[in-house]
Amino acid sequence: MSYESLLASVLEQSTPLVLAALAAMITLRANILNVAVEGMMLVSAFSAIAVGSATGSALAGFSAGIFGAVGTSLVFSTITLRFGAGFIVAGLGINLLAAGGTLFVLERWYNSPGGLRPLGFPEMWHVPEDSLSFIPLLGPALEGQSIIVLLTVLAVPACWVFLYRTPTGSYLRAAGEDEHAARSAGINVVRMKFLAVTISGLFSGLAGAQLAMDKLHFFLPNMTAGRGFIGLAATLFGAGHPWATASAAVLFGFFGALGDRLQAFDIPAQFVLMLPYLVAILALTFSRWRIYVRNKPAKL
Amino acid sequence: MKMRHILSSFAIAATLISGPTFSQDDFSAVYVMSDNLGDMGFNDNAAIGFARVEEEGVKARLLQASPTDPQLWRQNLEAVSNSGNWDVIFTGPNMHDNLAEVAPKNPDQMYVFFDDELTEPNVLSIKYAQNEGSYLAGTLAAVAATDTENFPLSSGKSKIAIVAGMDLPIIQDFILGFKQGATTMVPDIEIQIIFIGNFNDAQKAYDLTRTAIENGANVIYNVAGPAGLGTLKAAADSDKYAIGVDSNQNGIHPDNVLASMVKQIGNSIYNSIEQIKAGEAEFGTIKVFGLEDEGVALIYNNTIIPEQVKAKIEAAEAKVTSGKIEVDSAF
Repeated sequence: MSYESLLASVLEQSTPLVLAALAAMITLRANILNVAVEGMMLVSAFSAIAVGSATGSALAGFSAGIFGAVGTSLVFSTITLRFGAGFIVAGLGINLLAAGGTLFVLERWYNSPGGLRPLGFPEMWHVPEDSLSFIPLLGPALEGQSIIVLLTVLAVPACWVFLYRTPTGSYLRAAGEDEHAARSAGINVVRMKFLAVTISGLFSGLAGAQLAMDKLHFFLPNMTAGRGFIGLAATLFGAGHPWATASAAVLFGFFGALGDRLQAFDIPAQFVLMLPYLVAILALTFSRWRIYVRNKPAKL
Repeated sequence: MKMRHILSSFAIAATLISGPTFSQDDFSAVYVMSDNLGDMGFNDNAAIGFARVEEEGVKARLLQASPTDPQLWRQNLEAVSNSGNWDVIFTGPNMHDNLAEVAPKNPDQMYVFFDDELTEPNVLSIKYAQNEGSYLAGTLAAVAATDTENFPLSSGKSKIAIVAGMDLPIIQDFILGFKQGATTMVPDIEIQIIFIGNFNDAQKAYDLTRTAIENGANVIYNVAGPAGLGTLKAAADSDKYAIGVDSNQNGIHPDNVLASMVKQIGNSIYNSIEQIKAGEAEFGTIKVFGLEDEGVALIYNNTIIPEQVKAKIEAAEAKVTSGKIEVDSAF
């Protein structure tokens, strides 16, 4: 097993997790615990494959994925921010709607409840082979990755700049930290939350498109397989900071990729499959412990 | 929702009260489904079996139902059981609890329960010997990995792999048969056994398959249901071979999928109706359909499997059907 291939695999497995984590992070900063990432990813994956195969254009599929997820996020923000539904309840509702809705369309429209597998599907743009091999280690790992992987690498600093170096980002954080104070400072809190959910939809859209369009080129019911929730765990672990959140997601991706490789050895499969979840539990315990230590009053 | 239930049960009740329009001495069979047709797999295969018996004068009827509507499955089962118009009622996956309640209430009604088991005196359970089909898949995988002349994508190293969904008894049955088949052909063959952890994470199946191929595997056996599409795609993207499962997956990647191991649901339905008509069916027992009675089969991708290789596999099949070789089973 070579380091390049492990690194490439880590990048590939981490990308949807990092995007899901960023999606959950941006809403967490606006004080919304977003459990709907999973559902938005699923809608995105489905729309990407459906439109991509119908039009034969990767760009159209990609855009459809993004629009699908952003559209779902608008439903989410309308029922929560406009009509006052609880975020968790509405988020779980969105997940059920996405899982059931995609299955319904598969059954009624495509007549194949088992999944949507177009015979030919347009390729997304991938980093060409041998174009980056002059960069040691990271270069070969990036070759052959999709454009969404590159976008993800850029999205992390972009999030940081947005949150900490732009006025809108500060308003968004203020709206999340203390709603009343923010409102008295003249910030439109609802609009900020709405913006956070929409950005969350955008990232979920990228995550879903990556999952469906990068290698697989097909859609299966529930193909997101809990990645949205792992992303949410990474956000909580990273305490809503872009770099820490992305690192946590990469850590989960790393243990996933490592687990894949460990299965080649004589280690019980159950143990290997447990790894990412074990790491998630340890990470969340650690982050709670850190908060506990930080908030402990000093000794008199 | 409620309205639809009521309407659909009325619709069924209406047809049942009026009764089947054929004379009473015709044999009749109805299949209470927990799914719709059109899955290109299990259900459509069952429909083929019913179409075959219909050609021979048996009155057959399939009651489709949405997979997300368990109440309707139960209503359909109760309606056909109470009507008493059907000689035999077939039902299949997801219906265990429903049948366990309905069958004892209708002791004179014959039931056939396939792909699952229930011990009731009026129920004939049908199961499939996936270990025997997997045995053939194993022999084919071993041949394809080592015979570089006929299988140019192989490296010649005797390494193959299984990418499976979860570590369940039924999946172990696939694995044991596959292992035994491969080792009879190439005794020192190395078989990686890899689990995804579920049956719908196709991306993980893709990654795991690619890892197995990087480790030298030449042929990958897909035992992962829907997620297995990721396995087939990874094998195609890495220019190696794969063996499909459940339905004929040969056409998905025609240059890479060597064959598909399928349960021939249709054959088992046809055979069991024949047996019931002849009065030979043993109700209250489990009947296992294997290679011998064509309950499982390996469907070859004829464009990439040469005749002499097929002959080798068929020789192995003959040993199983003649009883010379007993295939290991997890049950």
